[in-house]
Amino acid sequence: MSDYPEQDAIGSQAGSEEFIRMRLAGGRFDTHLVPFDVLSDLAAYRELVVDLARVLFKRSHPNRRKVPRGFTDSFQLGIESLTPGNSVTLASRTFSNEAYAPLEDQPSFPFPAHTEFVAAREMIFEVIACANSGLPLPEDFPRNLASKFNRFGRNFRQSEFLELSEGGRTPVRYGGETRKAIVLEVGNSYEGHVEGDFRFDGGRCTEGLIHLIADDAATIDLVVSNRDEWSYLNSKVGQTARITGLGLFDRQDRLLKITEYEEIPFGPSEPIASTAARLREIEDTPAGWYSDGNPAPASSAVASMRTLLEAMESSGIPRPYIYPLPEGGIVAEWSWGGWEISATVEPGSDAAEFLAVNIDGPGEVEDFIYFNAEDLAATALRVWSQVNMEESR
Amino acid sequence: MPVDEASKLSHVDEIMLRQVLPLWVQEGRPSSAAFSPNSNDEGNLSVDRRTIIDPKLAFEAYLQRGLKSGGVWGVSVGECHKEGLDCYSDPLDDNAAHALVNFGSASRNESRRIGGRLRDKAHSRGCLHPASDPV
Repeated sequence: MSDYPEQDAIGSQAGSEEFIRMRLAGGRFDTHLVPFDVLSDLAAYRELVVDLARVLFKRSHPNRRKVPRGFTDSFQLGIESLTPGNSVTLASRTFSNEAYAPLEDQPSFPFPAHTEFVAAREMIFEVIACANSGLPLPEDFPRNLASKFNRFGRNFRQSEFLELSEGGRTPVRYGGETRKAIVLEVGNSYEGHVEGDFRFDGGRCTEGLIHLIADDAATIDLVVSNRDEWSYLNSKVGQTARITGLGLFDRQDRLLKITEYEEIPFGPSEPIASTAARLREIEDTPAGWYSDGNPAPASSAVASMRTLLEAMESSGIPRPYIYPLPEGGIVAEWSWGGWEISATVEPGSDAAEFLAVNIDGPGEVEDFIYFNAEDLAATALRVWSQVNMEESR
Repeated sequence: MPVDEASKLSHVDEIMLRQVLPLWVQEGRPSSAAFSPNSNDEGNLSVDRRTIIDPKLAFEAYLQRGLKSGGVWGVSVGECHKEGLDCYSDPLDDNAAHALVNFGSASRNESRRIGGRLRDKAHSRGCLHPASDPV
C-alpha cells in the first residue's frame, strides 16, 4: 500500500497556498504591532495542526502504527502576508524534492500532500466554535490533544485575541477564555500570562522551587531550572519584585505556579521596615542580648546613627539593614551592586566608620563620616560615591 | 582549643554552620557581624560541621543549650580558605560537631572585610534552617 495520495495531486504541491487567516486584535495588537513573542503562538498552532493530523492519519489507516516518513515535514506553515489591521495570512507549503533535498535514507519521491492537515484545520475550527458556544468538544476530537491548546495563545494578554478564518467561512474568535475552556475540558489547570509583584519567601532547593507571596497573600511557587539561579533567588528573601512570565492557573483563575519567567528585575536591596522603626527596635534592646554582661545599644550611638541615616536617605542613598553590636555600637549595612557596605557607630564616637568591600575583587573604600560636618548629607553622599568611582576603575 | 595541623579541615566543600542571633537577622538578611569574631571570641568564629550534624539538629541543640538563634547559615571551608582562613575541628563535650574558623591575627577592619564577604556567600546559599529546606 502506498503512503502517498493520488499522483495527480502532487503537481499542485510545489508553491504555497493559503491555509488560514488570523486577525490579531485587542491589547498590544490594537497599536498595530505584532510582538515577537506571539510568533511562538503561531508556531504552536502549526504544531497543533500536525499533531492532530497525525491522529487523523492513523485513524484513517488503522493498519499502520506510524505516519509515513516525511509526514510532518510535508506540511510547512509560514507567514505569507501581514496586512494593516494585523491580519496575518498563514500559508501552507508542501515541498517538492527540488525544493527540499531528500534525506539520505529517504527515496527521492516528492513529499505527498496529505489531506489530514486540512482536516485537522477544520476540526480545530470546530473545537473553537464549540468552546465559544459552551458546548462539549466534538466527540471525534482526541481528548489528549486538548492540552496542546495551552501553547497556542499563551503569550496573549488578557484582552488580546485572534479571529481565525479561511475561505468564505465565518471567522471564529480565539482568546484566553476559549483556550481556557478547551484545556479545562480534560484538565484542571491551564497556562496563562503572569505579570505582578511578588514577595520572595525562601524556597525548597530539592524541588527547585522558590516560594512567593502575592499581593492578596496567596502563596505561589516559582519553578527554577538550576541550582545557581535557585540560590540567587533564595537570597532575595523579604524582597519584592515584578515577575513577568507564564503560569499555571486553576479553574477559578487562581495562579498556582509560575513555570517560566523573564529576568527578574530587583531594585537596590532595601529592607521593608523603615529606618526609624528598626532603630526604635534596637534602642529598646536590653543589656545582655549578646552575652552575659554585654551592654544595651548606647543611646548616643543610636541617636548618631539616626542623624546619619536621615541625611543619607535625603541624599537618595538606599535604606540599610541595621544591627546592634556587642559593645553597645550599631552598624548599618548595605548589599549594593556587588559590594558589602557598612557604616559603624561606636558609643561616644564622633564619626561613623564607612567600609565598602567588593565581593569578588580587591576593591574597597574606607573612610569616616563626621557627624558635625557642615552638610552631613553631602558628606555622606561624597563618601558613598567613592564606591561608584572604585567600581568604575 | 586545638588550632593545630592535625585538626585542620581540608575538604573545601564542607559546610560550616553558623548560628546567627535573632537581632542579627533583619527580614531574612544576616548581618556581617555574625561572620567575624568579636572581641571576646579570641579570633575564632564558632561553627558546627555539617558533615557531622545537619542544620536542623544543630539549631535545636543550640537552643537546648539555652542560646538564641535566628537561623542557621553556612559557609564552606573553601570559601574560608579564599579569605586566608583555616578551619579546625574542635569537638566539645556537649557538641561533637563544633569547629572553629580561625581569623588568626586579622585586624578589626580586616575581620570586618572578611565578615562582609563571608556574609554574602552565606546569604547567597540561603538560610539552611529554619527558613527553607537544606541546600
